[in-house]
Amino acid sequence: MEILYLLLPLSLAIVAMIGAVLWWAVFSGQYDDAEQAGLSILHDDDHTVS
Amino acid sequence: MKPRSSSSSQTATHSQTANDSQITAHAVSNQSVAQRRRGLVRLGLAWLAMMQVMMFALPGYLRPEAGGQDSLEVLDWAIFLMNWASLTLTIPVILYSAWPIWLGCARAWSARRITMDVPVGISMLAAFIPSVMATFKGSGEVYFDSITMFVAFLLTARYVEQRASLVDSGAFGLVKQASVTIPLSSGASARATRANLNVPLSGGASIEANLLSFSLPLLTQANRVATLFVLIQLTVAAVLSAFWWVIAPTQAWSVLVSLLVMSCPCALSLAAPVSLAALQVNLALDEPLSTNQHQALLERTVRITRQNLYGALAWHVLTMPLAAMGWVTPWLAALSMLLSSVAVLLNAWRLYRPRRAGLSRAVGVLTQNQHLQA
Repeated sequence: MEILYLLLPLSLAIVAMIGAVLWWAVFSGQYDDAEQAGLSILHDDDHTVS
Repeated sequence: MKPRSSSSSQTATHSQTANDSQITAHAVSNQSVAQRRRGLVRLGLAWLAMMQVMMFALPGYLRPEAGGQDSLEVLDWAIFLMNWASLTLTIPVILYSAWPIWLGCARAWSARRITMDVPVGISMLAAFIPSVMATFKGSGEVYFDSITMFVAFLLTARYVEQRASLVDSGAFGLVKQASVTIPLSSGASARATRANLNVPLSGGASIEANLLSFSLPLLTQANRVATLFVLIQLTVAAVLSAFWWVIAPTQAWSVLVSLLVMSCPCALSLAAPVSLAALQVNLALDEPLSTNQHQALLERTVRITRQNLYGALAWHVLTMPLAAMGWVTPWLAALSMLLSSVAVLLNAWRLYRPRRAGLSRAVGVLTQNQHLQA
């Protein structure tokens, strides 16, 4: 059971890492507009007349 | 950050989608974007910590069933370590995720008023301080799982409420700017002009005044019910836990924490904002409503708001005796709070017509593209 001394800090470190990634993702704007990317294919302007 | 689009007419695409994605796109001001991001991070971190702390809490729940002396010793040692790990994860939840709640408590204190944040703050402290003491001592009950669950569920309800009130304030703006932005797409512009012709019928500016005079009584009613409820609940919690303190001191804290968690009127405070938000999104849709339909919609909103309000109240009144008997553990109380909030949301959802909106939006975009190709 001494393995807990390794596993518990490790799990805390992983949680901290996930938290940091979430922080980065949100504050770099990844969640600001969830619809735009899906709709972008419909707004694609693909007529070829110049 | 806008996703890169290969089209050269980036600006046109942008202003077109500005009224397409009604719910997201009006959050254009930097301040509201930053606020939403912070809310999202607080929410995400609370959920993350909650799931970890629940795992760490498992040995504590196994303890009553532990077998011989040897296994009990090992288990107690594991519980001791797990409690420290839980404490490490709970501190950021209390300090960062729950920060808006502390701010709300401070505001309530300076205004000498009871708001929803007061029982929430008290219950968090009532659960947190004994848990920290038990962690340091190495024996006794800890409630870290309940605290993190409570914060996570509460922030979820708050986030939804915040988004709903954002829609509230955005819907009028969209109605007003619709005539400016919509003509970009041919399909939608036909509808837009129809909508514009229809506006004088119900009165352009008077819609706002009407809605305001319609929403305010509902909101004040909901607030009054929630405040009264909080006051009663706090008193009941104090009296009952004093009673438990006399007959069974070991149970008293658990009962107090459950009662305080239950007293969180999240569902009550959600009741009016979500149904009003649903109503306003509904009115901002491009299909105009006849006067009869309009009236029916308003009546439906009032009915659903009342259902939400009194349904949530009934739920609280029904579950309170169970908590008072000591049958509801704190984490179960947090779960019951989440369930009532979700029920309120689903009920308000019935007012909302997202499918029709989504459909007409997609059709509008498609006809625009066909038009461009022709």
